[in-house]
Amino acid sequence: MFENILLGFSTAFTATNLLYCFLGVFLGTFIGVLPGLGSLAAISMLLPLTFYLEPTTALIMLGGIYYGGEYGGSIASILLNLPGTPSAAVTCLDGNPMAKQGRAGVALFITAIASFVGGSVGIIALMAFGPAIAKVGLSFGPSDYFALMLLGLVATVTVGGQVRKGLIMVILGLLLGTVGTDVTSGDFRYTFGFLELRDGVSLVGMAMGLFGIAEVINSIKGSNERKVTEKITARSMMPTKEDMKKIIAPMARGSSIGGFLGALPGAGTVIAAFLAYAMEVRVAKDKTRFGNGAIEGVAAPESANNAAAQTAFIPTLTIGIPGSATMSIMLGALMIHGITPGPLLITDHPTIFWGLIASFWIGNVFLLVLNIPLIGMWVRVLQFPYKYIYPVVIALICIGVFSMRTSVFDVCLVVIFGALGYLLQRAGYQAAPLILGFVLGPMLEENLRRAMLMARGDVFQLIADPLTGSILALSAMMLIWAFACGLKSLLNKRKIKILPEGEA
Amino acid sequence: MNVISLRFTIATILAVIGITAFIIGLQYDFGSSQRMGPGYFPLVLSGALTVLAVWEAFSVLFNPSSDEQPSLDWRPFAAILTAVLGFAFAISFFGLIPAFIVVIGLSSLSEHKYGLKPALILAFFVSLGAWLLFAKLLGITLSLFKFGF
Amino acid sequence: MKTSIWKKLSSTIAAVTIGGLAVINAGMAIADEYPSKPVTLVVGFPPGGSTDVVARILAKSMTKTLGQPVLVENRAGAGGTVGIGHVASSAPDGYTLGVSGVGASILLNALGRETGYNIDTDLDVIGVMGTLGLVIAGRNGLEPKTLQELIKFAKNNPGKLTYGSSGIGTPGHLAMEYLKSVAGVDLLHIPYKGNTPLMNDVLGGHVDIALLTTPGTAEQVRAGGVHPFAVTSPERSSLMPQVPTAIEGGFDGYTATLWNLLVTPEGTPSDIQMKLSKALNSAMQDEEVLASYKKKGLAPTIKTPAEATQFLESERAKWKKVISEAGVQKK
Repeated sequence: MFENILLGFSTAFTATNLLYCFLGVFLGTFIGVLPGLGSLAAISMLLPLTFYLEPTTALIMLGGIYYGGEYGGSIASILLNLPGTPSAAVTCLDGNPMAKQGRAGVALFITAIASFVGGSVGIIALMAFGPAIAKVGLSFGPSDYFALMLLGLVATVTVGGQVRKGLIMVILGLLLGTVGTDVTSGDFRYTFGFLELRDGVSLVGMAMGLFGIAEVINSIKGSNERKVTEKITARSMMPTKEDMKKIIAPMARGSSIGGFLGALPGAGTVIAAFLAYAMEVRVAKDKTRFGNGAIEGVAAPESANNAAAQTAFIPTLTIGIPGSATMSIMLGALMIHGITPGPLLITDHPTIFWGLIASFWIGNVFLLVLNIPLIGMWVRVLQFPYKYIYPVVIALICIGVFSMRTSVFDVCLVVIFGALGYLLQRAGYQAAPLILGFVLGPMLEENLRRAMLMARGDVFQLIADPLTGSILALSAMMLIWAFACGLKSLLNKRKIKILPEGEA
Repeated sequence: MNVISLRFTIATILAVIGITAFIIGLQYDFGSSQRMGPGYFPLVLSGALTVLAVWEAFSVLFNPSSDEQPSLDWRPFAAILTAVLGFAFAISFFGLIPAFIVVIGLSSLSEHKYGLKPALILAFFVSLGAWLLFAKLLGITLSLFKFGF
Repeated sequence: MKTSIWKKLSSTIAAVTIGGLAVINAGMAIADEYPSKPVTLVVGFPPGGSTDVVARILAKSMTKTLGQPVLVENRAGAGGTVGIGHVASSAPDGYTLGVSGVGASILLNALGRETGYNIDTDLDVIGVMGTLGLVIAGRNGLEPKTLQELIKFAKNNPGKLTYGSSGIGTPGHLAMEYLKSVAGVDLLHIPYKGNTPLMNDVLGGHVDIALLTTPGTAEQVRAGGVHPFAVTSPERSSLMPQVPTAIEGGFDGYTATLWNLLVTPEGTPSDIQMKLSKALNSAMQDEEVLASYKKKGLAPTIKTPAEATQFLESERAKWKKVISEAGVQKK
């Protein structure tokens, strides 16, 4: 074990590898900041660059691009409410309100710290229990995945406070998720004859419309009166001692949730951030702070997201099953170098495996070192008059969405979802549950249908499975709790004067 | 449009989406509980959406809590959406640079007194930056200018 | 990653350079010395996938032969048909090539799917980019160990065994349906979205058997995660020489292979077609290509455009027969 780690660091600590690791983190952050382009886009764009490198160096660079992209996405989410991925949508919930309160620097700082902590926890889990966790992941069958997805959705619904509106958004998201080719039958659903819709609605087009466009329209009015004269000092960017104290427990909880879920192929990374956020809301004494710039609401999902990003490598590297689209590309990069990833990768290519793990940690250090000095620069973006920012944001959204699939159709989707998103936002609905419903919906349906096929239609067989049953019971409990709380607050509302509902 | 009627309108729109999806979903095979067809989920979901949206609409009607009055800002709404649509149109027929000029120009209509000069300067810099970034750095060779298709 | 996008009808449309310095008729410029600029190779799947990897290996070698870079452009969507549809509507000037797999070339069409193009009338076939066999594999702990035993077991336990496929209408699904009808057994089909989640569930023991792609499965077999019954290629796989073919297992004529065709838009001048064919076939003899093909269990193929078209015909006849005999529902 120890000598393996040593081997890893000796592989990673060559000048070339360090250089490419740094380059990857830098480029990844840079691309991730652009609206609509996340770590997936960053990796697919820069993948061809790595074909000319040694396999270990190539993977180290791709790893760097990956976290850089993830962190860059958080920057865009916090500053401008522009999430490129579902997990970044969680960061928006409290990160953007913090920025609006003039605490953007603190939010970015916390994000960097939480990412680092989460990443480090994930790496330790990866080193210590990689193969063991992978086996647990394999034992998750279709019914367990279904239960897990359901838990994720229930957690999201119960987060917002307004259960009915949350439920409406999740269901709308699930319904949008059914657009495209049905996996189980191969039929087309709601494609209206568009070839582009056969693979479903473009997530990026949808997220950019719902969040980005809606946000811009919302912010234009009164933006000229907005005061941006606040002085940026080094102190204003640093979290206070109280802030730091507040985030220790959330980071620990977030990292453990993320670290575990990340190892489950497909499901983990998406719901990790949502569940971590839901957990914080549950634990918190004063739930009203969430959605209004609660620092725990940034720290927990960010650490969960990054811990999951690390442990997502477990199934990829230990059994050759990529957990996400990004991981598939990483596997593809290995294949191009003539290495077929599989369960024997660790024994056959120990330098690659351990070198990669060591470089993950180095990459996380780079991320911290690179980004803390840059926070000041990012925050200054907000100091520009909004007048000059929003046309650029709109233009970047357009080109970003367009270049994902070179598709004009996707740009048109931005228009539709922009209109819908703005109207929904004004009427007090949140877009984040919709995004989660959309992402989890197809997996939820696929796994339920697969589970029912395997159980030959016997629902009781499904529930009788110990793992499935207990996850389902947990979801049921959360839902009942949320409805009970909702009822209680409704009764309170009737008694006291009606309180203004928080804006979305 | 005040809050109540906005909330009511949105709930109605959602209900209409639900009903439409339900009607279309009826064409898909519903299947059985063992072999759920492609229509199973769409019908359940669109049904649930409709019920919840109608519930929401009624609760807005009978439970008017009109504290805030956020109105819709039609001008930026129209300008921004037209700008994105203009981008889609321009990039299909005229290339990247005209598309940027269109998107910046149209977004600047969001405000009364934006001025032509800042819009032009912004369009120039954005086009230049995007060209450097996408064409030079990331190696995506999009046509900068073109005619027709 | 993405190169010049709209070249539709460009033979009639003048290309205007940024400064407006030169207006060249695209059709004239190529005739002289093809290729005079980078060539785009469109792949209908995302980067890093198995089709993409094959395309990149060949593009590297073809770049050497053609003297101009061959750039891979990923236009993923709808089982590869989005990319091929784009090639079909591009200018037939030899600068837009496509990689068309079994699904995009035959299966989707044979299953009655609208693809937006017709491979016979909208595309010219230049050559075959190698073939890849599949493996009939089972989860660990399954009682039967050979293909014969498996069939016997399935006959004795009708409807008990489940088989997974990487999707409706994929070669893996159709070939298993064919096996079902040939052997007269009843297996429950569980479709997945791609090879990865399918492999996951075979490894986890949630699904009994599946038709999996060779390179990944060979690794799992080596580690003892899955049990191979037979390969579906005409010959044994270089990655798993110990595993018999389905033909050896008693199913005469039972083959299912994956392949990719190199295609150009219909009407590409024949001299350009010949140049491309030569470049592709010399890539098939390139040491570097052969080495990476061997690692991936791919069999190299050398075919002229006419032979490749014939290959397409015979494969189409075979799969159509499979679809009709297995009684797979058309959409």
